[in-house]
Amino acid sequence: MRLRSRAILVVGILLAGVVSAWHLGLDSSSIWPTAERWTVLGRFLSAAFMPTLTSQSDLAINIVPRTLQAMWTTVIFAVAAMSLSLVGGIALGVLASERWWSLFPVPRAVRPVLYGSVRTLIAFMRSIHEILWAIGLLAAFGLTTVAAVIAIAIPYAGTLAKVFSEMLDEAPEDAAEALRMAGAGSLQIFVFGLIPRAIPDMGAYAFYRFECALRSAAILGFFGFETLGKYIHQSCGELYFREAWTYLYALVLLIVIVEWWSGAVRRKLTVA
Amino acid sequence: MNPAARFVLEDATVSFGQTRAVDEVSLRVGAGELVGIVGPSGAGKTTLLRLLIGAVRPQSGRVSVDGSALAELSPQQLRALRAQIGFVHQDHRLVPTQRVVTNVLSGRLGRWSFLRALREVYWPRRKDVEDVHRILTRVGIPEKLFERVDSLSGGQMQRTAIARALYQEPEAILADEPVSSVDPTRARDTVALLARIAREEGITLCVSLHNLELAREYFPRLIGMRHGRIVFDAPTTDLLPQHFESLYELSEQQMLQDA
Amino acid sequence: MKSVEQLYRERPVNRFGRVSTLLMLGLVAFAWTSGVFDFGALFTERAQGNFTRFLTELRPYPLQGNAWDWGVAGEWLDEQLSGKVGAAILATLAFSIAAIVLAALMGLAISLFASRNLSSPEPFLPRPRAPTPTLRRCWDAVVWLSRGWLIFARAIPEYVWAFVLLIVLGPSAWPGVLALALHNAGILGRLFAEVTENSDPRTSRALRALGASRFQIATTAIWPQSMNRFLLFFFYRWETCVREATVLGLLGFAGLGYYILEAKAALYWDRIALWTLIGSLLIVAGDLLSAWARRLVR
Repeated sequence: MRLRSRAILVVGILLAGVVSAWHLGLDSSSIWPTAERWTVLGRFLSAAFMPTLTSQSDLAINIVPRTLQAMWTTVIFAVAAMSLSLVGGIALGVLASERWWSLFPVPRAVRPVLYGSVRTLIAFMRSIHEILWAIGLLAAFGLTTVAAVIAIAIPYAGTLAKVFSEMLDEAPEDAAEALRMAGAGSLQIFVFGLIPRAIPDMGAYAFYRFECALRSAAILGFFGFETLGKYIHQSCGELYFREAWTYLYALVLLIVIVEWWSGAVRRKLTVA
Repeated sequence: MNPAARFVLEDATVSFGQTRAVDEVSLRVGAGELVGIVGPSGAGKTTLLRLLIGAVRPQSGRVSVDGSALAELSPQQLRALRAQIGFVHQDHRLVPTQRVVTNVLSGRLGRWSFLRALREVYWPRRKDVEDVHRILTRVGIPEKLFERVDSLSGGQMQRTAIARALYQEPEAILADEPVSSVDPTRARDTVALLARIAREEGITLCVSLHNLELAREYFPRLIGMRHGRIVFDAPTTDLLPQHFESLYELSEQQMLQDA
Repeated sequence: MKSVEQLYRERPVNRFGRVSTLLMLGLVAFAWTSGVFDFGALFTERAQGNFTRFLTELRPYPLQGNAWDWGVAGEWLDEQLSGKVGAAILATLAFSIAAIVLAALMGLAISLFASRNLSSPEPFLPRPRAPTPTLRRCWDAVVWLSRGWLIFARAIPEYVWAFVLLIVLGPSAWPGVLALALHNAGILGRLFAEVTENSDPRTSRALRALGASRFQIATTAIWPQSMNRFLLFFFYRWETCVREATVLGLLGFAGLGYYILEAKAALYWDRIALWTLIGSLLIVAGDLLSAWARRLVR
């Protein structure tokens, strides 16, 4: 992008930010806490340095077991959701890639319909937030853990599908071409020539999505499921900030571990 | 002697936009012949080879392999034909994240159904792995059997690509600059190897090369190309230095153009 | 010459990859067999009943139980949306834009401290006197703290940030904007820092030789060079901000989510579906806009 247009863009962005802030009524007075607010804020911030290991509602209860349990449940929810979404994501991702349809030509009239409907389906799946999916699915099926996991799996499958389809369309075609010249059939070309070229990136992205799934699983706790969100919700609601920080730190710990793992996987996948 | 014609081009022309990569070229290659194709870059050598395997379609003219016109073949027939022809690409075109053995095993995909292929390539039998090992020994990299392709040097990758083509047990091999990324001594060994294998097994061989010396030494027939046209097509022994000079000299026009 | 067996035994094996894969597969197996998830629960009579009832409740209220009528549907649509939809969309967009801009500014600021090439005792050029170990450790601490802060900010999901900040800061638009901004600052800050660390050091070195401060080097050498990538990240995160901004309303903030919250309180599923759909369209539009902007920048 040319320098001048870029400068204009940046200025435009800053302007948009200011206008938006004004529209929302963001001003220094509303962020500056009132006297009582200061105490709450102060307690909140100082509690960050004093996370507690006993429940603030009843000092006799040790919250470590429930924290660990909640961490584990968060992981399980995320793992379950990812396993479902990977299946859907790969299937839809393949069907949403242009290269798939060029290898498996369908009658001219049918192809845009198929391709278009898959892409629309994916856009629809992706554009509804997992919380909204949860609201709907939990109402439709009752407060079951399966419904909660499906609520995460659907938008995630959509996102995976979109990204996977792009990766498949942008992966180098060299090996695929070579296999075609060796007499391989269409499905063979796709599976033996194209997918291996795209898999390192697909794998790395899927792992990143797993990290996001942990966050989503934590949020589902707000609906009452036994993940970290439930306890964050509870303790904050009662202004038990020290306890809340324990749960927050637990979540951060989970994310840090998975982020590290994800980074290591990515490094190993992309280097010999 | 009139050896049965393996590859026949009749007035084939391939244009990419304004330029004619291959310009009304006719040629016949008989079974078991060893043909070297030489010429400067951009002469059309790659396109010529790609014509022979149907990777590119001529705008006019005809390509026939083993008596059948490529344009008239069904996709299955084309597939079966290609399974008989090993193509070695200039940029090897391997899967870098897979091991050498997997890449070489993929050479026979043309023979197998999809499900069978999954088994053969990803859970190969011991005998097949040993076959691959044998071929790798022939091309000089036996110890690389289980190495990842991206840990190999350019020359080793090229030889893996050749191994993949050989694993097809083809009746013909088309090689597009198979030694361009290889250092001179290895290049000579590789070309010698290709020529020897072709002769021993009666494989029809067409190789495009930069290196005139190698071409003259190992190929009894040479085709010279320039600007998409065939400048000469004769037994090597009949060729004179003038032939080669005419191939590479820059015409005054060209020098002005390039400047 | 080595036999095939030997070569097989000596073959390079990605230990880490294997362990990771096994661990993942183990987790998956455990998750599905642990009894936490019971697919059967979806197929009980009660669940099926719930589901069919839910589907009927998705239809606009006046049409439930009756045949579909475009006229009635249109009236209902008009009634639901008039006076509300414009403001809701604007509010949602405003949240997303204010938040992402704030996030970018915060991210830029922190990336200065989180980039090892800038945040060091000897940025780009060695000093005449080697820095003491203590000084080095101080600078390392700066990098660590800023990176740690970035990790913390992005580890907490936006929705949780919003919930917590709402309690702590009280009702206003700020908790919503800050929640999105902080989380995204964590992401953008890290991305910006990576780009800064990978930037071409030559100009920076030259400026340093002329005595420029770290800040000056960043703003005049590194940022212009990396601005394109910054912008790409910016638009990419803005898409997500739009998505998150739509659900902020569930906590009470202005925007599309607010009407969903209202409808949810009364269990008006038809309205929930409607507002969700509108949110969906907005997000798709945002995605397209972001994709277009990113193409422009490239």
